Amino acid sequence: MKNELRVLRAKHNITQAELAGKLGVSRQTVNAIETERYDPSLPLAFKIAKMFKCRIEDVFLVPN
Amino acid sequence: MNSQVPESPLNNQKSRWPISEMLTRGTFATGTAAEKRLILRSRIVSGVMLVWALVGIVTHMRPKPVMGSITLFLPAALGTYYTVEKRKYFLSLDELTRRIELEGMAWAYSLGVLAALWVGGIGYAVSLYWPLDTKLLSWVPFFLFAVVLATIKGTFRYFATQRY
Repeated sequence: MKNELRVLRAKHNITQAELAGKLGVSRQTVNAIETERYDPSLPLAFKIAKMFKCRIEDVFLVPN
Repeated sequence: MNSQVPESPLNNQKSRWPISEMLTRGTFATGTAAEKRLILRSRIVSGVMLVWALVGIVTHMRPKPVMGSITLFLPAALGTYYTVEKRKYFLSLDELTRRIELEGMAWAYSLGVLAALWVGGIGYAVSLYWPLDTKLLSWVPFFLFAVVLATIKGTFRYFATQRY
């Protein structure tokens, strides 16, 4: 699933490792989500949206 | 997971899975307390097995009933001791690593059953022509579970992480 995680992370100036630490997941998980090789669970997706203070659909783009 | 490379928000594009830890210890180098406990236990288990092997060599497995009984049950007892901690480690994993581990278990089970069928069939066919030593047969479960399944799971873990 396409997402804006890398852009949001860059805007907030945090590394994958820092974000992973805040989310309680591994850095590889953050990397896999960013590179669109892994779709996170709904709770993790909500956690990511909450962390960047935006809506879930602002992070994860709904496919047409 | 531990990383030696300094990161900035944009330079980190690769997954960099801890291949050596995955293939040797079967862990994801999470650096958590659960992982440290698991590594400690695996060292204890390996240490005890090594010491017991040395004791067996020195004593020539005598008295046989006592030494034989301990040798039969020691791997199972140590395996139980290790597996309790392994379960805690599994529960401490995050969703992606847990998924990889679960997929590895599923493949190890499926291919393990298949391997057991082949080994059983071939073993039976061979035994019709060359009667097998019962001592040799007693090692088949150890071979299947410890060597075949662990290798399948470890191999799958490696290939699965390359997808992410």
